[in-house]
Amino acid sequence: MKRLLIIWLLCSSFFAYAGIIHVGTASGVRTLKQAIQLAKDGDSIYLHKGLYKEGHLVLTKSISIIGIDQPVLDGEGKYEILTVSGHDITIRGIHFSNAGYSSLYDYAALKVIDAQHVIVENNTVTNAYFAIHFDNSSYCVIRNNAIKSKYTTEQSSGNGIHLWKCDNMVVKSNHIQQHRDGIYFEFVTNSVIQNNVSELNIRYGLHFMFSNNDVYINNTFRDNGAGVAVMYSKKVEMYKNRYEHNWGASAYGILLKEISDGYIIQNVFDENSIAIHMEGTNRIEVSKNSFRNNGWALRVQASCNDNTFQWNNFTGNTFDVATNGNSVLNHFHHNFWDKYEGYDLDKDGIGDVPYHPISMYSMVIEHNPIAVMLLRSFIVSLLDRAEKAIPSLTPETFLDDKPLMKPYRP
Amino acid sequence: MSITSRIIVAIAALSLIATYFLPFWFIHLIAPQYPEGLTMEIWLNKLSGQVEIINGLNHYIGMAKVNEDMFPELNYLVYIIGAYILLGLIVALVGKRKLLLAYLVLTVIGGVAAMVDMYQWGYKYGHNLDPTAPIQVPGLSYQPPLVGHKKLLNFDAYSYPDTGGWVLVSAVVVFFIVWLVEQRRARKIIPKKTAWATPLTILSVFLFQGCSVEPEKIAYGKDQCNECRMTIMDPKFGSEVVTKKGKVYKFDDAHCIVQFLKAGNEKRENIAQIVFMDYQDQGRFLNSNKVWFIKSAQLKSPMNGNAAAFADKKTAETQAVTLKGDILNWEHLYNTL
Repeated sequence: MKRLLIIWLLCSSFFAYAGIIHVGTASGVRTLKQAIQLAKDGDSIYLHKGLYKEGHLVLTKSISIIGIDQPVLDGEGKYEILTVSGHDITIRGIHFSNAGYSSLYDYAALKVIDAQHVIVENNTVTNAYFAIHFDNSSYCVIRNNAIKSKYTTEQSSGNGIHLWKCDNMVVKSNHIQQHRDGIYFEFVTNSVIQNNVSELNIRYGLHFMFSNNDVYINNTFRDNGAGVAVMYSKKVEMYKNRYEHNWGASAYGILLKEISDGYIIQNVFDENSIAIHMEGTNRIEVSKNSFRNNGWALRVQASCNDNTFQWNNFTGNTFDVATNGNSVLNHFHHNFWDKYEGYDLDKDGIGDVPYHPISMYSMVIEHNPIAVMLLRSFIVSLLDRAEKAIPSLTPETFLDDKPLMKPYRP
Repeated sequence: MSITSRIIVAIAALSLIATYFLPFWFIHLIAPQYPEGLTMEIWLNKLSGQVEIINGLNHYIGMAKVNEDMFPELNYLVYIIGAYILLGLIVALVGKRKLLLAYLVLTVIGGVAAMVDMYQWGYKYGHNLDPTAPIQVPGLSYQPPLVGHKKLLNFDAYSYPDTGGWVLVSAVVVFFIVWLVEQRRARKIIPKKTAWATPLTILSVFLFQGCSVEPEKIAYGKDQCNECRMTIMDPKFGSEVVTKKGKVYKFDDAHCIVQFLKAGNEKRENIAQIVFMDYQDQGRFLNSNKVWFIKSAQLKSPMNGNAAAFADKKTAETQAVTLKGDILNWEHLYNTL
């Protein structure tokens, strides 16, 4: 009996009474503002289809706001639409439209400040300055949101999903386009970015700064101004992402600056001006990636040490590797290079002569960018041949001593 | 002439001594393969700068080698200037207005003669080409510009007076003004006091027109920060370093400009100015020597420098209250970042 009583007590605490407040033309409560005032912690607000122009709403209670048939909250280009602070809050299925713009304040369609355990899912955000903006929060989920701004000037567009000083966050399966930076992380730790598509953004698909111990997996970054920037961070892991078609004078697949102890594994780099540009990068493992049809596959500046490049496939790149230094302390082995012309007499799948991935011409271009004019000219191929036979200009220690004969297949 | 005028003439004449220790003309070449440029300075008695590299380039197009022995002028220019200094002192001692005019005419003649001489050298150099040179462009001559800018093949050539040259020019301007003042006084058109007014305005116009290297507009969304390589987006925190050669480095954050300066790849003495975007008027640059910064975590600048620039201390103080920040000058900020 006592046991039953305990079970009943436990259950009743689990299924504590949670009220539901309906908002819409059919119910007594016509505005979301009124509903938020009425709600108690643990309640849910069902926002029915319709257009709601309610200015700036503030939510500090632990409640869920759930949209039925995509109701529209309109900021009329003047207001931050919803500011959330607190814990255990869910925002689901709402269309945020026309959030305000200010040059001094980072107005967002949805701003979450000092919060824990907030779930933001299945929402649509259009025409926002910042779309979803988290400050100083932890244990939150941002999932399945569709975010789209329209092209305005660079200065009047903010970031799609913007996280600042957060911890233990999940950003998953969102589609972001036409913002300044698609996803922005600054001082964000122990977090995951997964299955997102970030495209057509003015600057970066993903912008990642001062953020340690994070993972990003299976994302697609396409047609962004300059690809993805990962800077000043430690222990960042990048798996199975696609970097496609980031073309332009200063466009990269990934720009790595001051990064250490990370992994770049099984990514695909397709048609980027520079697939990976590295500066001040240490102890990174770059393995099992495909570099296809890029201008430069790798640009390793002299300030990079102790990085390992293995089991990667390099096909159809204009330049496989370029560097501006001589003393190179990075390790290349077991990569497949389509420009490799060696032989494999012992049939172990590994070429018997080392491959020098740096062509003389790429060294020339590092010093005289204008020389790119001579690309694919007869004399340049001649010089490269001569250099291969008798290396004199290219760093001699910069070689793959175990080049694969066939592309790596997992 | 009045005693003041005579003293001024004497000082101006003596200032010509500086031309012995300063280059008086320079030729500067910029090309994609020499982004820093090549400079050749001409002194009264020698040539300096990257003469060897310029010669190396010139031999490709068949120009003669430049060396000091070819210019007899370099042997006697020293004496000519000496004579001018002496004459100037004599004019000051005698104090005759007519004599000053003669002297003025003489200096102008000297200047014109020097320019003609330079033009002739330039013409000779640009047109007398070695017929066996490796690069031959039919009908093209390589005469450097006398003063100003000219495009030669892929080179931008600039030719301007150097410090010594400007000393010379200002001395002539001073002589001219003194003569003008004396002339007006002699005619008693105007009282003593305002006699100086017009000439001084002319002089100030001259001075402020001096060759200055200006900051460039930042193209947001296109330009990259020179330090962190990020595309510059936020107009509130832009800054620039402008070198004396007119090269402009752009930055997106105070943190980056400080890092760049601390790295020391661009020497301090080569920097003409350091400017910051006015936080409140984002079309205006403020010079680092008269700017006040607010450093506040609320600013959230792109690279976490979190410093905004203000034109005057009062505005900064009122803003600092709302932003809960500290007020610093440039030096202080430089040392804290």
